[in-house]
Amino acid sequence: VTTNQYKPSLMKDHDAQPPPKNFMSERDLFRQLHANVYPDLLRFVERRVPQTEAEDVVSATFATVWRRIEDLPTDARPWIFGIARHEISNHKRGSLRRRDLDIALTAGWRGEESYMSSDDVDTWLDLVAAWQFLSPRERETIALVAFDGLTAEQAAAVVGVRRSTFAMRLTRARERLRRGIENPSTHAPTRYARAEGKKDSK
Amino acid sequence: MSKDILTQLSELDPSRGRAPSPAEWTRSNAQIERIMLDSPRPATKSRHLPRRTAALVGAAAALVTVGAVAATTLMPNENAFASWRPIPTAATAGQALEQAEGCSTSWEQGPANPITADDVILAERRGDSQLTLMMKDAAIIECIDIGDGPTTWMMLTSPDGKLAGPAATGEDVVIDTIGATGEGSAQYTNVVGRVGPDITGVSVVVSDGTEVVASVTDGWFVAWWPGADGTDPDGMTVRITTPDETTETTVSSLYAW
Repeated sequence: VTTNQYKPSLMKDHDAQPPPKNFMSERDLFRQLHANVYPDLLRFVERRVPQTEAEDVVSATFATVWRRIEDLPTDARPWIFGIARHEISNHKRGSLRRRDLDIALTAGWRGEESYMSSDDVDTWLDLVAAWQFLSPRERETIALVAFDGLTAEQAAAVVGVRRSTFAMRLTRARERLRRGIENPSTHAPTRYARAEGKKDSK
Repeated sequence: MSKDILTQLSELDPSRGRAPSPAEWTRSNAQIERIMLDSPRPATKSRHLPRRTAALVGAAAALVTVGAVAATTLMPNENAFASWRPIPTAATAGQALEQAEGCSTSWEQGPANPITADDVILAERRGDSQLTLMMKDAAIIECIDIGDGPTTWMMLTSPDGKLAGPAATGEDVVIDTIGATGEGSAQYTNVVGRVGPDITGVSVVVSDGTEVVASVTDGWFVAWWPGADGTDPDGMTVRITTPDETTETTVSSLYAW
């Protein structure tokens, strides 16, 4: 016997909270979660793994969400992203290309304007250069806010640290990024970034 | 720089503007159905009153948990639908307790204490079928026997205790759950809600115009009827009766969520 308890209409707004858990069957709750979160989750994963591998990670994430649906918090998105982050780590541990969890920037301009001024081009190039000098953790810290659209509190939940800890990391990462943009020649890359840059230069 | 640094950076988001294609949606929708099929949660077989769950959700006071599951995969007896009546009669205390006890045997873990008559909120009969609503361990459990078919039951839990407290005041009416259970011609719709003390009657006018009179006792009301109206609440209305008047309103205006 299947049960199909009525649920409120689907909410697809980017910032929408998940539907209330009360009085829906778990299957309907899971389906609605999928409908609400899948696009954001796919983007979250594709920022961190090659596109060809993203669907597997997303699928593994939803399998875990299903197993743990009783633990679903009111703010579902960061909780699911946290599960996805764990799946990504497992995925990378199991792959031949053992890499840290990292985020690359797009290869091309995706701004809303169809063209850039010369100043914008300079800024863009500086941003790209400064980004490369951040550590993977700094990149992830910034990406959770700038790309994944999370608040500091939500991002802290994703990476499993206190909000104050994340806020401190974000402040430092932004400062290093800002310094890298304003004074690229004297920007000191981290040890990890130097090693990564050396590898990339080969 | 004219823009905030993170705003500028967001324009270099590698997934900016990326949306799943129709094919990706199709594959992902199929995948989650496969996940549920391959890894049925214990609750989809037999939901119980789990002390573990109660503690877990109780710690998260803002959350409300629901169980809405069937105990077996058997279909209700269609003859029972033929005997169904829109106006219920009260089941006897013995019938209610027997159903409540039988219902609890299908839970993976029994209740903390044996089921007693005091746990029963109300019990009604519609033809050959019986519904008992009870509260046990701060959960609301609805047990339905459709004819001589298996017991189907549904559990509502509320870690913040709202379901255990007085539910509605004055002329308030809230619907805690409404939905369809079963498959195909064996589907039926049930509704569980709460009413204030000034409410003397609740009935649901379903899609074919039938007025289904709900059982109303001790601040709770329940009703069920054959068919899948529960998946389309907009096709129904609710009539609410007080000593002074009867009013009619939409189902969605009464949602507790």
